[in-house]
Amino acid sequence: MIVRRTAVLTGALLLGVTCLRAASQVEADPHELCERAREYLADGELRAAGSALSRLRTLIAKRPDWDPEGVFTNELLPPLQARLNRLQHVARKLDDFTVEALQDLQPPDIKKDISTVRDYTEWATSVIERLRGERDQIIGAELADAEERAFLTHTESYERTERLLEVDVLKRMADTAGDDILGLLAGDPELESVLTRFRQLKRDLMQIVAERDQLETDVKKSHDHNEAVLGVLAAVVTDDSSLKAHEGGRRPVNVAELFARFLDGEMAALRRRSYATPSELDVLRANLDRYRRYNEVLHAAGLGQDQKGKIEALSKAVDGLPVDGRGITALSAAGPASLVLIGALALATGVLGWLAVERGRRLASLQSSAGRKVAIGPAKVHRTDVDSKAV
Amino acid sequence: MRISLLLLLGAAGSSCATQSVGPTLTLEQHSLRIPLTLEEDGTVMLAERPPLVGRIDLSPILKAEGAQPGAGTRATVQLMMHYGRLYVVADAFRAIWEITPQPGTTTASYRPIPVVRDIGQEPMKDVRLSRYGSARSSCLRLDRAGGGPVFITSSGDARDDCP
Repeated sequence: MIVRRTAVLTGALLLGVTCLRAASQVEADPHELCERAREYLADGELRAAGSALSRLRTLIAKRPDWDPEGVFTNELLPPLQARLNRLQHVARKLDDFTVEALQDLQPPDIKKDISTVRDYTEWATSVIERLRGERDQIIGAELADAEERAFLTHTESYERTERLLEVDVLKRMADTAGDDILGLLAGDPELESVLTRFRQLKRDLMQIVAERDQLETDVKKSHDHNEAVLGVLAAVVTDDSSLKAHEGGRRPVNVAELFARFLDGEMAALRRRSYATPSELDVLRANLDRYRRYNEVLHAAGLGQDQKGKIEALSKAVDGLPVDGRGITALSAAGPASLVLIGALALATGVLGWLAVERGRRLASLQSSAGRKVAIGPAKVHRTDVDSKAV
Repeated sequence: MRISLLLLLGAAGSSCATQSVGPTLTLEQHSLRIPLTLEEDGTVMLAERPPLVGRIDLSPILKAEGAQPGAGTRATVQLMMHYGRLYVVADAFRAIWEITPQPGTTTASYRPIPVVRDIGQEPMKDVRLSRYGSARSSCLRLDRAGGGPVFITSSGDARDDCP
Protein backbone atom coordinates (compact mmCIF):
# COMPACT_ATOMS: atom_id res chain seq x y z
CA MET A 1 0.00 0.00 0.00
CA ILE A 2 2.83 2.35 0.94
CA VAL A 3 4.72 1.40 -2.19
CA ARG A 4 1.63 2.03 -4.28
CA ARG A 5 0.99 5.40 -2.69
CA THR A 6 4.57 6.44 -3.31
CA ALA A 7 4.28 5.43 -6.93
CA VAL A 8 1.08 7.42 -7.34
CA LEU A 9 2.61 10.47 -5.65
CA THR A 10 5.75 10.23 -7.71
CA GLY A 11 3.81 9.87 -10.93
CA ALA A 12 1.67 12.86 -10.19
CA LEU A 13 4.65 14.99 -9.20
CA LEU A 14 6.65 14.02 -12.23
CA LEU A 15 3.91 15.14 -14.52
CA GLY A 16 4.65 18.64 -13.35
CA VAL A 17 1.04 19.63 -13.20
CA THR A 18 1.67 22.54 -10.89
CA CYS A 19 1.95 25.00 -13.72
CA LEU A 20 -0.35 27.98 -13.72
CA ARG A 21 -2.46 26.81 -16.63
CA ALA A 22 -3.18 23.55 -14.84
CA ALA A 23 -4.55 25.48 -11.90
CA SER A 24 -7.52 26.51 -13.99
CA GLN A 25 -9.88 24.31 -11.99
CA VAL A 26 -9.71 26.76 -9.11
CA GLU A 27 -11.04 30.29 -9.35
CA ALA A 28 -8.72 32.73 -11.15
CA ASP A 29 -6.82 34.99 -8.76
CA PRO A 30 -5.24 38.42 -9.44
CA HIS A 31 -1.82 36.92 -10.11
CA GLU A 32 -3.22 34.56 -12.72
CA LEU A 33 -5.16 37.33 -14.45
CA CYS A 34 -2.04 39.51 -14.42
CA GLU A 35 0.01 36.75 -16.02
CA ARG A 36 -2.65 36.17 -18.66
CA ALA A 37 -2.77 39.87 -19.49
CA ARG A 38 1.03 39.90 -19.85
CA GLU A 39 0.98 36.90 -22.17
CA TYR A 40 -1.80 38.37 -24.31
CA LEU A 41 0.10 41.65 -24.61
CA ALA A 42 3.25 39.85 -25.67
CA ASP A 43 1.25 37.99 -28.33
CA GLY A 44 -0.30 41.22 -29.59
CA GLU A 45 -3.78 40.09 -28.58
CA LEU A 46 -4.86 43.46 -27.29
CA ARG A 47 -8.57 42.69 -26.96
CA ALA A 48 -7.90 39.61 -24.82
CA ALA A 49 -5.37 41.55 -22.71
CA GLY A 50 -7.95 44.26 -22.13
CA SER A 51 -10.49 41.65 -21.09
CA ALA A 52 -8.06 40.03 -18.61
CA LEU A 53 -7.20 43.40 -17.07
CA SER A 54 -10.86 44.30 -16.83
CA ARG A 55 -11.55 41.03 -14.99
CA LEU A 56 -8.62 41.75 -12.69
CA ARG A 57 -9.95 45.22 -11.88
CA THR A 58 -13.45 43.88 -11.21
CA LEU A 59 -12.15 41.07 -8.99
CA ILE A 60 -10.09 43.43 -6.87
CA ALA A 61 -12.90 45.96 -6.62
CA LYS A 62 -15.50 43.40 -5.59
CA ARG A 63 -13.25 41.35 -3.33
CA PRO A 64 -10.44 43.50 -1.97
CA ASP A 65 -9.29 40.57 0.18
CA TRP A 66 -7.52 39.26 -2.93
CA ASP A 67 -5.23 42.29 -2.82
CA PRO A 68 -4.27 42.76 0.85
CA GLU A 69 -1.67 45.51 0.46
CA GLY A 70 -3.01 46.89 -2.81
CA VAL A 71 -0.03 45.50 -4.70
CA PHE A 72 -2.09 44.71 -7.76
CA THR A 73 -4.18 47.87 -7.62
CA ASN A 74 -1.31 50.27 -7.08
CA GLU A 75 1.77 48.61 -8.51
CA LEU A 76 1.09 45.83 -10.97
CA LEU A 77 -2.14 46.83 -12.72
CA PRO A 78 -1.31 50.46 -13.66
CA PRO A 79 1.82 49.73 -15.74
CA LEU A 80 0.07 46.88 -17.55
CA GLN A 81 -2.94 49.07 -18.27
CA ALA A 82 -0.65 51.88 -19.44
CA ARG A 83 1.17 49.50 -21.76
CA LEU A 84 -2.12 48.26 -23.16
CA ASN A 85 -3.31 51.84 -23.69
CA ARG A 86 -0.11 52.74 -25.54
CA LEU A 87 -0.33 49.68 -27.77
CA GLN A 88 -4.03 50.26 -28.50
CA HIS A 89 -3.32 53.90 -29.32
CA VAL A 90 -0.58 53.00 -31.79
CA ALA A 91 -2.67 50.17 -33.25
CA ARG A 92 -5.47 52.66 -33.95
CA LYS A 93 -2.98 54.99 -35.59
CA LEU A 94 -1.69 52.16 -37.75
CA ASP A 95 -5.24 51.32 -38.82
CA ASP A 96 -5.85 54.95 -39.81
CA PHE A 97 -2.54 54.96 -41.63
CA THR A 98 -3.47 51.84 -43.61
CA VAL A 99 -6.85 53.22 -44.63
CA GLU A 100 -5.42 56.59 -45.66
CA ALA A 101 -2.52 55.05 -47.51
CA LEU A 102 -4.87 52.86 -49.55
CA GLN A 103 -7.08 55.83 -50.34
CA ASP A 104 -4.11 57.92 -51.46
CA LEU A 105 -2.56 55.15 -53.48
CA GLN A 106 -2.83 56.55 -56.98
CA PRO A 107 -0.31 55.33 -59.54
CA PRO A 108 0.93 58.12 -61.81
CA ASP A 109 -0.82 58.97 -65.06
CA ILE A 110 1.40 57.60 -67.78
CA LYS A 111 -0.78 57.94 -70.81
CA LYS A 112 1.60 60.40 -72.33
CA ASP A 113 4.66 58.19 -72.12
CA ILE A 114 4.78 54.44 -72.63
CA SER A 115 8.31 54.15 -71.39
CA THR A 116 7.02 54.51 -67.85
CA VAL A 117 6.80 50.79 -67.22
CA ARG A 118 10.07 51.35 -65.45
CA ASP A 119 8.47 54.31 -63.76
CA TYR A 120 5.80 52.04 -62.39
CA THR A 121 8.38 49.87 -60.74
CA GLU A 122 10.15 52.89 -59.38
CA TRP A 123 6.88 54.35 -58.22
CA ALA A 124 5.93 51.14 -56.43
CA THR A 125 9.35 50.88 -54.81
CA SER A 126 9.37 54.47 -53.68
CA VAL A 127 5.80 54.29 -52.39
CA ILE A 128 6.53 51.16 -50.40
CA GLU A 129 9.68 52.72 -48.95
CA ARG A 130 7.84 55.93 -48.10
CA LEU A 131 4.92 54.10 -46.47
CA ARG A 132 7.25 51.85 -44.54
CA GLY A 133 9.13 54.90 -43.29
CA GLU A 134 5.90 56.62 -42.27
CA ARG A 135 4.69 53.55 -40.45
CA ASP A 136 7.97 53.07 -38.59
CA GLN A 137 7.94 56.74 -37.71
CA ILE A 138 4.48 56.42 -36.16
CA ILE A 139 5.63 53.45 -34.09
CA GLY A 140 8.95 55.03 -33.10
CA ALA A 141 7.27 58.27 -32.04
CA GLU A 142 4.64 56.54 -29.91
CA LEU A 143 6.53 53.60 -28.44
CA ALA A 144 9.90 54.23 -26.83
CA ASP A 145 10.19 50.74 -25.37
CA ALA A 146 11.73 48.17 -27.73
CA GLU A 147 9.77 45.38 -26.05
CA GLU A 148 6.50 47.18 -26.74
CA ARG A 149 7.52 47.75 -30.34
CA ALA A 150 8.11 44.01 -30.60
CA PHE A 151 4.70 43.30 -29.06
CA LEU A 152 3.07 45.63 -31.57
CA THR A 153 4.42 43.62 -34.48
CA HIS A 154 2.16 40.76 -33.35
CA THR A 155 -1.02 42.85 -33.52
CA GLU A 156 -3.60 42.65 -36.29
CA SER A 157 -3.11 46.34 -37.04
CA TYR A 158 0.58 45.85 -37.74
CA GLU A 159 -0.17 42.82 -39.93
CA ARG A 160 -2.56 44.96 -41.95
CA THR A 161 0.23 47.46 -42.61
CA GLU A 162 2.50 44.62 -43.70
CA ARG A 163 -0.14 43.47 -46.11
CA LEU A 164 -0.45 46.99 -47.41
CA LEU A 165 3.29 47.17 -48.10
CA GLU A 166 3.75 43.70 -49.46
CA VAL A 167 0.56 43.09 -51.39
CA ASP A 168 -1.83 45.98 -51.70
CA VAL A 169 0.55 48.48 -53.30
CA LEU A 170 1.65 45.97 -55.91
CA LYS A 171 -1.92 44.91 -56.54
CA ARG A 172 -3.03 48.48 -57.07
CA MET A 173 -0.13 49.04 -59.42
CA ALA A 174 -0.94 45.87 -61.34
CA ASP A 175 -4.57 46.91 -61.76
CA THR A 176 -3.86 50.46 -62.78
CA ALA A 177 -0.75 49.89 -64.81
CA GLY A 178 -2.34 47.07 -66.70
CA ASP A 179 -5.46 49.03 -67.55
CA ASP A 180 -3.66 52.24 -68.45
CA ILE A 181 -1.04 50.62 -70.58
CA LEU A 182 -3.46 48.33 -72.30
CA GLY A 183 -5.69 51.29 -73.04
CA LEU A 184 -2.76 53.28 -74.33
CA LEU A 185 -1.48 50.57 -76.57
CA ALA A 186 -4.77 49.41 -77.98
CA GLY A 187 -5.16 50.12 -81.66
CA ASP A 188 -1.50 50.65 -82.48
CA PRO A 189 -0.36 47.70 -84.68
CA GLU A 190 3.31 48.57 -84.23
CA LEU A 191 3.05 48.04 -80.57
CA GLU A 192 1.03 44.82 -80.74
CA SER A 193 3.92 42.73 -79.38
CA VAL A 194 4.38 45.14 -76.50
CA LEU A 195 0.65 44.97 -75.80
CA THR A 196 0.76 41.18 -75.72
CA ARG A 197 3.71 41.27 -73.44
CA PHE A 198 1.96 43.64 -71.03
CA ARG A 199 -1.15 41.48 -70.99
CA GLN A 200 1.02 38.56 -70.11
CA LEU A 201 2.79 40.56 -67.42
CA LYS A 202 -0.47 41.64 -65.88
CA ARG A 203 -1.79 38.07 -65.80
CA ASP A 204 1.49 36.86 -64.31
CA LEU A 205 1.45 39.52 -61.64
CA MET A 206 -2.12 38.80 -60.64
CA GLN A 207 -1.44 35.11 -60.68
CA ILE A 208 1.65 35.53 -58.52
CA VAL A 209 -0.30 37.51 -55.94
CA ALA A 210 -3.06 34.90 -55.90
CA GLU A 211 -0.56 32.06 -55.69
CA ARG A 212 1.24 33.77 -52.88
CA ASP A 213 -1.98 34.10 -50.89
CA GLN A 214 -2.82 30.47 -51.56
CA LEU A 215 0.69 29.36 -50.60
CA GLU A 216 0.47 31.24 -47.33
CA THR A 217 -2.79 29.46 -46.53
CA ASP A 218 -1.36 26.11 -47.56
CA VAL A 219 1.79 26.61 -45.52
CA LYS A 220 -0.25 27.43 -42.44
CA LYS A 221 -2.48 24.40 -42.98
CA SER A 222 0.53 22.20 -43.56
CA HIS A 223 2.24 23.56 -40.45
CA ASP A 224 -0.83 22.89 -38.31
CA HIS A 225 -1.13 19.42 -39.77
CA ASN A 226 2.57 18.70 -39.15
CA GLU A 227 2.25 19.84 -35.55
CA ALA A 228 -0.75 17.57 -35.06
CA VAL A 229 1.05 14.61 -36.62
CA LEU A 230 4.20 15.24 -34.59
CA GLY A 231 2.07 15.50 -31.46
CA VAL A 232 0.47 12.15 -32.15
CA LEU A 233 3.85 10.65 -33.02
CA ALA A 234 5.33 11.96 -29.80
CA ALA A 235 2.43 10.49 -27.87
CA VAL A 236 2.98 7.11 -29.52
CA VAL A 237 6.74 6.92 -28.95
CA THR A 238 6.49 8.09 -25.36
CA ASP A 239 3.47 6.03 -24.37
CA ASP A 240 1.34 9.19 -24.19
CA SER A 241 3.44 10.89 -21.50
CA SER A 242 4.64 13.61 -23.85
CA LEU A 243 1.17 15.02 -24.38
CA LYS A 244 0.83 15.92 -20.72
CA ALA A 245 4.34 17.36 -20.61
CA HIS A 246 3.65 19.42 -23.71
CA GLU A 247 0.13 20.46 -22.75
CA GLY A 248 -0.40 24.20 -22.97
CA GLY A 249 2.99 24.69 -24.58
CA ARG A 250 3.23 27.09 -27.49
CA ARG A 251 6.52 25.80 -28.81
CA PRO A 252 6.51 23.32 -31.68
CA VAL A 253 6.49 19.64 -30.78
CA ASN A 254 10.02 18.23 -30.67
CA VAL A 255 9.54 14.47 -31.00
CA ALA A 256 13.26 13.72 -30.70
CA GLU A 257 13.58 15.64 -27.46
CA LEU A 258 10.43 14.08 -26.01
CA PHE A 259 11.56 10.59 -27.00
CA ALA A 260 15.01 11.12 -25.45
CA ARG A 261 13.40 12.47 -22.28
CA PHE A 262 11.01 9.53 -22.22
CA LEU A 263 13.96 7.10 -22.42
CA ASP A 264 15.65 8.95 -19.56
CA GLY A 265 12.46 8.57 -17.57
CA GLU A 266 12.33 4.85 -18.33
CA MET A 267 15.93 4.50 -17.20
CA ALA A 268 15.19 6.33 -13.97
CA ALA A 269 12.18 4.08 -13.39
CA LEU A 270 14.31 0.98 -14.00
CA ARG A 271 16.97 2.19 -11.57
CA ARG A 272 14.33 2.53 -8.91
CA ARG A 273 13.30 -1.10 -9.35
CA SER A 274 14.94 -3.71 -7.17
CA TYR A 275 13.65 -6.81 -8.97
CA ALA A 276 11.34 -8.01 -11.72
CA THR A 277 9.19 -11.08 -12.15
CA PRO A 278 9.71 -13.17 -15.31
CA SER A 279 6.51 -11.82 -16.82
CA GLU A 280 7.59 -8.25 -16.06
CA LEU A 281 10.94 -8.96 -17.69
CA ASP A 282 9.13 -10.17 -20.80
CA VAL A 283 7.16 -6.93 -20.93
CA LEU A 284 10.30 -4.85 -20.41
CA ARG A 285 12.12 -6.69 -23.21
CA ALA A 286 9.12 -6.28 -25.50
CA ASN A 287 9.18 -2.57 -24.69
CA LEU A 288 12.87 -2.44 -25.59
CA ASP A 289 12.14 -3.96 -28.99
CA ARG A 290 9.42 -1.38 -29.47
CA TYR A 291 11.78 1.49 -28.53
CA ARG A 292 14.37 0.15 -31.00
CA ARG A 293 11.79 0.19 -33.76
CA TYR A 294 10.67 3.71 -32.85
CA ASN A 295 14.28 4.87 -32.82
CA GLU A 296 14.96 3.39 -36.24
CA VAL A 297 11.88 5.01 -37.72
CA LEU A 298 12.51 8.41 -36.11
CA HIS A 299 16.18 8.38 -37.07
CA ALA A 300 15.46 7.30 -40.64
CA ALA A 301 12.85 10.05 -40.97
CA GLY A 302 15.37 12.64 -39.78
CA LEU A 303 13.22 13.47 -36.75
CA GLY A 304 15.99 13.11 -34.23
CA GLN A 305 19.38 11.78 -33.27
CA ASP A 306 20.05 8.08 -32.91
CA GLN A 307 19.09 7.04 -29.38
CA LYS A 308 20.72 3.63 -29.72
CA GLY A 309 23.05 4.32 -26.80
CA LYS A 310 20.22 5.07 -24.42
CA ILE A 311 18.24 2.04 -25.53
CA GLU A 312 21.27 -0.23 -25.10
CA ALA A 313 21.82 1.21 -21.63
CA LEU A 314 18.18 0.43 -20.91
CA SER A 315 18.70 -3.08 -22.22
CA LYS A 316 21.67 -3.59 -19.90
CA ALA A 317 19.66 -2.27 -16.98
CA VAL A 318 16.84 -4.72 -17.78
CA ASP A 319 19.31 -7.61 -18.04
CA GLY A 320 20.82 -6.61 -14.71
CA LEU A 321 17.52 -6.73 -12.83
CA PRO A 322 17.31 -9.58 -10.30
CA VAL A 323 14.54 -12.00 -11.27
CA ASP A 324 11.47 -12.86 -9.22
CA GLY A 325 11.99 -11.34 -5.80
CA ARG A 326 8.33 -10.59 -5.49
CA GLY A 327 7.38 -13.47 -3.20
CA ILE A 328 9.92 -12.57 -0.54
CA THR A 329 9.47 -8.88 -0.90
CA ALA A 330 5.71 -9.14 -0.84
CA LEU A 331 5.92 -11.31 2.26
CA SER A 332 8.19 -8.91 4.04
CA ALA A 333 6.18 -5.92 2.87
CA ALA A 334 2.98 -7.54 4.10
CA GLY A 335 4.19 -7.31 7.69
CA PRO A 336 3.98 -9.51 10.79
CA ALA A 337 0.19 -9.88 10.61
CA SER A 338 0.47 -11.87 7.42
CA LEU A 339 3.26 -14.00 8.84
CA VAL A 340 1.09 -14.88 11.84
CA LEU A 341 -1.82 -15.67 9.52
CA ILE A 342 0.34 -17.91 7.35
CA GLY A 343 1.70 -19.67 10.47
CA ALA A 344 -1.81 -20.20 11.79
CA LEU A 345 -2.90 -21.62 8.45
CA ALA A 346 0.07 -24.00 8.38
CA LEU A 347 -0.68 -25.13 11.95
CA ALA A 348 -4.36 -25.61 11.14
CA THR A 349 -3.42 -27.65 8.07
CA GLY A 350 -1.12 -29.86 10.20
CA VAL A 351 -3.77 -30.41 12.89
CA LEU A 352 -6.44 -31.20 10.31
CA GLY A 353 -4.09 -33.61 8.58
CA TRP A 354 -3.29 -35.35 11.83
CA LEU A 355 -7.01 -35.58 12.65
CA ALA A 356 -7.71 -37.05 9.23
CA VAL A 357 -4.98 -39.65 9.64
CA GLU A 358 -6.20 -40.53 13.12
CA ARG A 359 -9.78 -40.86 11.93
CA GLY A 360 -8.58 -43.04 9.07
CA ARG A 361 -6.81 -45.31 11.48
CA ARG A 362 -9.89 -45.64 13.65
CA LEU A 363 -12.09 -46.41 10.67
CA ALA A 364 -9.59 -48.98 9.49
CA SER A 365 -9.51 -50.69 12.86
CA LEU A 366 -13.34 -50.68 13.04
CA GLN A 367 -13.57 -52.08 9.55
CA SER A 368 -11.05 -54.82 10.29
CA SER A 369 -12.89 -55.92 13.45
CA ALA A 370 -16.28 -55.95 11.66
CA GLY A 371 -14.72 -57.88 8.80
CA ARG A 372 -13.49 -60.56 11.14
CA LYS A 373 -17.03 -61.10 12.63
CA VAL A 374 -18.56 -61.32 9.17
CA ALA A 375 -15.86 -63.74 8.07
CA ILE A 376 -16.51 -66.11 11.02
CA GLY A 377 -20.21 -66.73 10.04
CA PRO A 378 -19.66 -68.04 6.54
CA ALA A 379 -16.70 -70.03 7.72
CA LYS A 380 -18.90 -71.86 10.12
CA VAL A 381 -21.59 -72.32 7.51
CA HIS A 382 -19.03 -73.40 5.05
CA ARG A 383 -17.57 -75.86 7.46
CA THR A 384 -21.09 -77.20 8.18
CA ASP A 385 -21.79 -77.58 4.49
CA VAL A 386 -18.62 -79.44 4.03
CA ASP A 387 -19.43 -81.63 6.96
CA SER A 388 -22.96 -82.31 5.72
CA LYS A 389 -21.66 -83.18 2.32
CA ALA A 390 -19.15 -85.34 3.92
CA VAL A 391 -21.91 -87.09 5.83
CA MET B 1 40.29 33.04 36.79
CA ARG B 2 37.04 33.94 38.53
CA ILE B 3 37.40 37.58 37.50
CA SER B 4 37.89 36.65 33.87
CA LEU B 5 34.76 34.45 33.96
CA LEU B 6 32.78 37.30 35.46
CA LEU B 7 34.07 39.66 32.76
CA LEU B 8 33.08 37.15 30.06
CA LEU B 9 29.58 36.77 31.49
CA GLY B 10 29.26 40.54 31.74
CA ALA B 11 30.29 40.99 28.13
CA ALA B 12 27.85 38.31 26.97
CA GLY B 13 25.08 39.89 28.99
CA SER B 14 25.72 43.32 27.59
CA SER B 15 25.72 42.01 24.00
CA CYS B 16 22.40 40.24 24.57
CA ALA B 17 20.96 43.39 26.08
CA THR B 18 22.11 45.40 23.07
CA GLN B 19 20.35 43.00 20.68
CA SER B 20 17.08 42.96 22.56
CA VAL B 21 16.72 46.72 22.84
CA GLY B 22 17.95 47.49 19.31
CA PRO B 23 15.81 49.82 17.23
CA THR B 24 13.18 48.30 14.95
CA LEU B 25 11.46 49.40 11.79
CA THR B 26 8.54 48.18 9.77
CA LEU B 27 9.38 45.31 7.46
CA GLU B 28 6.73 43.53 5.45
CA GLN B 29 8.29 40.76 3.46
CA HIS B 30 5.99 39.05 0.98
CA SER B 31 6.15 37.86 -2.57
CA LEU B 32 3.85 36.83 -5.35
CA ARG B 33 3.79 33.11 -6.00
CA ILE B 34 6.96 31.84 -7.63
CA PRO B 35 6.77 28.72 -9.80
CA LEU B 36 10.14 26.96 -9.73
CA THR B 37 11.47 23.97 -11.62
CA LEU B 38 12.57 21.04 -9.54
CA GLU B 39 16.06 19.83 -10.38
CA GLU B 40 16.88 16.14 -10.49
CA ASP B 41 18.58 16.30 -7.08
CA GLY B 42 15.50 17.86 -5.47
CA THR B 43 16.74 21.45 -5.37
CA VAL B 44 15.17 24.56 -6.83
CA MET B 45 17.20 27.51 -8.10
CA LEU B 46 15.83 30.87 -7.00
CA ALA B 47 17.78 32.56 -9.81
CA GLU B 48 15.17 31.10 -12.14
CA ARG B 49 13.04 34.07 -11.07
CA PRO B 50 15.29 37.13 -10.81
CA PRO B 51 16.03 39.19 -8.80
CA LEU B 52 16.04 36.30 -6.32
CA VAL B 53 19.17 34.16 -6.28
CA GLY B 54 20.27 31.13 -4.29
CA ARG B 55 18.90 27.62 -3.98
CA ILE B 56 16.72 25.54 -1.70
CA ASP B 57 17.27 21.85 -1.17
CA LEU B 58 13.75 20.43 -1.06
CA SER B 59 14.81 16.77 -1.03
CA PRO B 60 13.93 16.23 2.68
CA ILE B 61 10.45 17.58 1.98
CA LEU B 62 10.06 15.47 -1.16
CA LYS B 63 11.17 12.42 0.77
CA ALA B 64 8.67 13.13 3.53
CA GLU B 65 5.94 13.48 0.90
CA GLY B 66 6.97 10.16 -0.60
CA ALA B 67 7.82 11.69 -3.95
CA GLN B 68 11.10 11.66 -5.83
CA PRO B 69 11.93 13.93 -8.76
CA GLY B 70 12.79 11.87 -11.82
CA ALA B 71 15.56 12.26 -14.30
CA GLY B 72 14.65 14.01 -17.50
CA THR B 73 11.28 15.25 -16.32
CA ARG B 74 10.37 18.78 -15.31
CA ALA B 75 8.29 19.01 -12.19
CA THR B 76 7.48 22.34 -10.63
CA VAL B 77 6.77 23.56 -7.14
CA GLN B 78 5.24 26.82 -5.99
CA LEU B 79 7.03 29.04 -3.52
CA MET B 80 5.73 32.11 -1.75
CA MET B 81 7.17 34.40 0.89
CA HIS B 82 4.76 35.42 3.62
CA TYR B 83 5.82 37.53 6.60
CA GLY B 84 9.44 36.54 6.03
CA ARG B 85 8.83 32.79 5.89
CA LEU B 86 8.80 30.71 2.74
CA TYR B 87 5.97 28.34 1.94
CA VAL B 88 6.30 25.52 -0.56
CA VAL B 89 3.67 23.32 -2.13
CA ALA B 90 3.29 21.14 -5.21
CA ASP B 91 0.78 18.83 -6.71
CA ALA B 92 0.77 15.39 -5.06
CA PHE B 93 1.76 16.93 -1.71
CA ARG B 94 -0.35 16.30 1.37
CA ALA B 95 0.93 19.33 3.28
CA ILE B 96 2.10 22.85 2.72
CA TRP B 97 5.65 23.24 4.02
CA GLU B 98 6.83 26.22 6.02
CA ILE B 99 10.52 27.10 5.70
CA THR B 100 11.93 29.56 8.20
CA PRO B 101 15.30 30.99 7.15
CA GLN B 102 18.00 31.32 9.76
CA PRO B 103 19.58 34.72 9.04
CA GLY B 104 23.31 34.69 8.55
CA THR B 105 23.42 30.98 7.69
CA THR B 106 22.77 28.77 4.70
CA THR B 107 20.22 26.68 6.57
CA ALA B 108 16.55 26.92 7.41
CA SER B 109 14.16 25.04 9.65
CA TYR B 110 11.06 23.54 8.12
CA ARG B 111 7.80 21.96 9.18
CA PRO B 112 4.71 20.56 7.46
CA ILE B 113 1.29 22.12 7.84
CA PRO B 114 -0.96 19.16 7.02
CA VAL B 115 -3.78 19.81 4.59
CA VAL B 116 -4.82 16.30 3.52
CA ARG B 117 -4.92 14.50 6.83
CA ASP B 118 -6.87 11.36 5.92
CA ILE B 119 -4.56 8.61 4.65
CA GLY B 120 -7.23 7.30 2.28
CA GLN B 121 -7.76 10.72 0.73
CA GLU B 122 -6.06 11.66 -2.53
CA PRO B 123 -3.17 14.14 -2.29
CA MET B 124 -3.59 17.73 -3.41
CA LYS B 125 -4.07 18.62 -7.06
CA ASP B 126 -4.05 21.90 -9.01
CA VAL B 127 -2.55 23.71 -6.03
CA ARG B 128 -2.15 27.47 -6.06
CA LEU B 129 -0.74 29.93 -3.53
CA SER B 130 -2.05 33.49 -3.19
CA ARG B 131 -2.13 36.24 -0.61
CA TYR B 132 -5.46 37.10 0.92
CA GLY B 133 -6.98 39.27 3.62
CA SER B 134 -6.55 42.85 4.71
CA ALA B 135 -3.48 45.05 4.88
CA ARG B 136 -3.65 44.81 8.67
CA SER B 137 -3.66 41.01 8.73
CA SER B 138 -3.12 39.10 5.54
CA CYS B 139 -2.96 35.33 5.07
CA LEU B 140 -1.34 32.95 2.69
CA ARG B 141 -4.15 31.27 0.78
CA LEU B 142 -3.85 27.76 -0.63
CA ASP B 143 -6.40 26.75 -3.25
CA ARG B 144 -6.67 23.24 -4.63
CA ALA B 145 -9.03 21.19 -6.77
CA GLY B 146 -11.83 19.47 -4.92
CA GLY B 147 -11.21 21.11 -1.56
CA GLY B 148 -11.83 24.35 0.25
CA PRO B 149 -9.12 26.99 0.59
CA VAL B 150 -6.69 26.85 3.51
CA PHE B 151 -5.41 30.05 5.09
CA ILE B 152 -2.05 30.35 6.83
CA THR B 153 -1.93 33.23 9.28
CA SER B 154 1.04 35.50 9.98
CA SER B 155 1.99 33.25 12.88
CA GLY B 156 1.94 30.13 10.68
CA ASP B 157 -1.36 28.65 11.85
CA ALA B 158 -3.63 26.90 9.34
CA ARG B 159 -7.31 27.92 9.35
CA ASP B 160 -10.43 27.64 7.22
CA ASP B 161 -10.77 31.41 7.07
CA CYS B 162 -8.50 34.43 7.24
CA PRO B 163 -9.07 36.30 10.51
